[in-house]
Amino acid sequence: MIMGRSWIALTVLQLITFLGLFYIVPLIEVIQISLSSGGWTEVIWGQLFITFLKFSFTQAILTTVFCLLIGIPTGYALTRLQPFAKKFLSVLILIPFLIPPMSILLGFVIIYEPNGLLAQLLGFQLIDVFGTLSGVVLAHTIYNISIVTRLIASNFESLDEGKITLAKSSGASPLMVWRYVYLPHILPSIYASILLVFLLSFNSFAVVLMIGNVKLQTLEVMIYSQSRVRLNYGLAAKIAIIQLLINVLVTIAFIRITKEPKYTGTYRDPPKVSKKLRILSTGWIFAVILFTWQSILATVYQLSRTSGRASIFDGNYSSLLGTSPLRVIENTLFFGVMTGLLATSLAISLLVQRLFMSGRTTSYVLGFISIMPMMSSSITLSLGLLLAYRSTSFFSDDIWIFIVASHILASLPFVTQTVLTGAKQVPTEYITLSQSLGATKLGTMRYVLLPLLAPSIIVAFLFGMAVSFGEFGATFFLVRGEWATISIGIQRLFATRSNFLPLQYSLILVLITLLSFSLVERLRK
Amino acid sequence: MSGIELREITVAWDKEIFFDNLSFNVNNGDVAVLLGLSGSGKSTILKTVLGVQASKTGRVFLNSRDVTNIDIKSRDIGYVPQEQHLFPNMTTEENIGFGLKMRGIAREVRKKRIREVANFVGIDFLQKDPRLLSGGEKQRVALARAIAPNPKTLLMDEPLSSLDTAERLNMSLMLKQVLGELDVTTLYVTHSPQEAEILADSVIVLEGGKIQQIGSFEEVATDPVNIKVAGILGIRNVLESDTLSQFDISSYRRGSLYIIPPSNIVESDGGVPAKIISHSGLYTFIDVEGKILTMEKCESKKDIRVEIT
Repeated sequence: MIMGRSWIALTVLQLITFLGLFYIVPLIEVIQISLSSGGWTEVIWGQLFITFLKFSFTQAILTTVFCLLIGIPTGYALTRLQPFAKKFLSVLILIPFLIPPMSILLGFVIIYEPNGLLAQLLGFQLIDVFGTLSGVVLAHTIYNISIVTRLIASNFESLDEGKITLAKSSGASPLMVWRYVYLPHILPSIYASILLVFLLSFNSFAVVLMIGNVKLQTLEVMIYSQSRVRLNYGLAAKIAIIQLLINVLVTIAFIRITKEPKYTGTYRDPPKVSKKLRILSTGWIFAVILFTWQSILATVYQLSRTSGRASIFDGNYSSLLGTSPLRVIENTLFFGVMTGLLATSLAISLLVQRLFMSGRTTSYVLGFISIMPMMSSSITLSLGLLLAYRSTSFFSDDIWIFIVASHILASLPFVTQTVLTGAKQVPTEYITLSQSLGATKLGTMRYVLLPLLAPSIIVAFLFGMAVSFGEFGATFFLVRGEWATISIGIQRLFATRSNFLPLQYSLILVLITLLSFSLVERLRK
Repeated sequence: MSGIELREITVAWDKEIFFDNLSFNVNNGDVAVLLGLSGSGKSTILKTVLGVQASKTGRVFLNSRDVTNIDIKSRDIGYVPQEQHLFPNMTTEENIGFGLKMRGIAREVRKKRIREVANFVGIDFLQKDPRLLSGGEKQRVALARAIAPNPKTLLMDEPLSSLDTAERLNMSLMLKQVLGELDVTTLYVTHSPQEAEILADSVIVLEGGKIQQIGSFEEVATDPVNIKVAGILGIRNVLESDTLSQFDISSYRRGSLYIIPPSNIVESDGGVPAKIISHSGLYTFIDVEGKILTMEKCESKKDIRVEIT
């Protein structure tokens, strides 16, 4: 019994130590510095802050509107297809959302730069994306349509076609069917999409940093520039707190408005669809896929016609990267594997507490804290780590520890949810049975639960790894010396004339993401 | 000696009380059937004995040992759940041997015991993936897994409910034989009077979180204490005695109730005819609506005449 309690206590200790050291302490440090430095009025009424706050809201709202305008018809069109086509095209639509932002951004720049692929094709520059609101909204829309379409399509799929038949047989016009049947049914996924896209765009860092040309900044970019460029930590901490409050308020407001933003994904028989509608749907979906895949396709196309001296196997650009190009790949893999392993281990700890601890308040508090990094942005967390540990030798000598910690925090909400959701599907009777047969709690974990949860645990590990591969904000904020990752490498080489090495990097990220995704899909089956 | 004893158990969730001061005991080696409709609290009692449902007050004794505060793995219990829940990550053999492995029994001894138990319950598919077994086969494995460590107490939670009628009857008969040969006290939860009739040494009839009657199946079936018990046992056309005391129908009397075979109810020639509000195709039961005015025996002796309004 004592042994049983002590290993469960160890899991609590592991979570408390990690979250305490790398989340709570840094967050408290940010709050403390924001409060101690005074001058809140100057910040809130400062011209620059108001401009960037307006910009953050404007671009996030516009992105959300455009994503819904494209995502709703695409989600509807997807569910009009035959099962195989639907499944295949759904995967194609989702993939761009999973690709690390720096890869998408590189392709985006290749297309839309003044002498980019689009300008070459048309003979003139159609749109100026650098330092313009339209550029930022376009980049965010390309990135976020996928997830909106996926959410809306799942919701459409759960609609009982009998309701449509009933409405039509009652004399409802197509418009009335949309108004009274489709729209109320897909509202939950619309709410979920609004919340997700708004928060992702509002807290966007990489896109705005790279194409905002300094004159356009989200609060996230402003926190970075104030702390890392101007070393004004007090101001950066204040903006971080304001941003955190906005995120929390927006989330709470949405939960209040939508009450229960859940929807069932129950599979229904495919609706009867006319040939004309099916052709139209397929055409529309291909147009959307082309739109969302443009960056990936541009990367592959550009790589096929680019050659250069710098490849991942030689030492060119080592000074710019801070290390050899190959080491950049090794770093990315190292951070990915460490993040996957440690985040999964923390998620399993949380699961153990949920299942076996008699007083479960602690485990629910820790579970809530594990979800919280979703609301506090990666730059805020990095600022906290910097403020809390900048004077320690760890921070100066072993920055990789903090980079791994920031990646774990970024992936923890997804990883814990994957493990806990997997565990929900295992009937609790297995635990009762195992213990009635004489198994200890440790024995139940070892022989029953872990084998049953193995697919979820592997998926959680892959999620952790994938988030780490794509992570840019926190790494960019913290990285020093030889610890650059592929995303950082792409960013550092952005301005060089040769795109060959960044294109290779980008393709590696795309391939790793595709491989992880196909593994996850296979395991889910 | 009691194999299972519950002493003044109270189970409550928030403010809702499921059982208040519930007590009963099962003789050592007996099969006691907890019989009741859905929601009557049968499974909650079983879970209290199992140790996964905490009680607010009272004590649980297994083989005269107070196990109230002892965790589930130390209660020496075999448990067969409703849906079998064979561990899908193990073979049939590993499933049966799991309890032995957890008790640290050596591999060779374990193998011997697994074969012994498998033969005992009629399993000849030890290497099969449990997910590919039929409902009846799964049930045999679940039973073998529960009895392999030789527990002193066996708890079975509606183990046959997922089987079809024919298989349920076969399995009931197999269980009767197996449980008769084991030295184990069994608490068996079901809503089926047929299973209770086959298996029970004693029946505990539950309704609304209260024990309505305890006795042998014969006693309970022939002399149900009230309409609720008669309903749970599937007996139709039961009338409370105070309604009918004025009528001479004593041959239908069963304790405090009158149980009238459905075929014996005929409509009255005079007065307001009985209105039949429901009946099955074969008239196995009839419900009539209205207040009984007169009731008399017919010449056929078996039949009674009922006049209602």
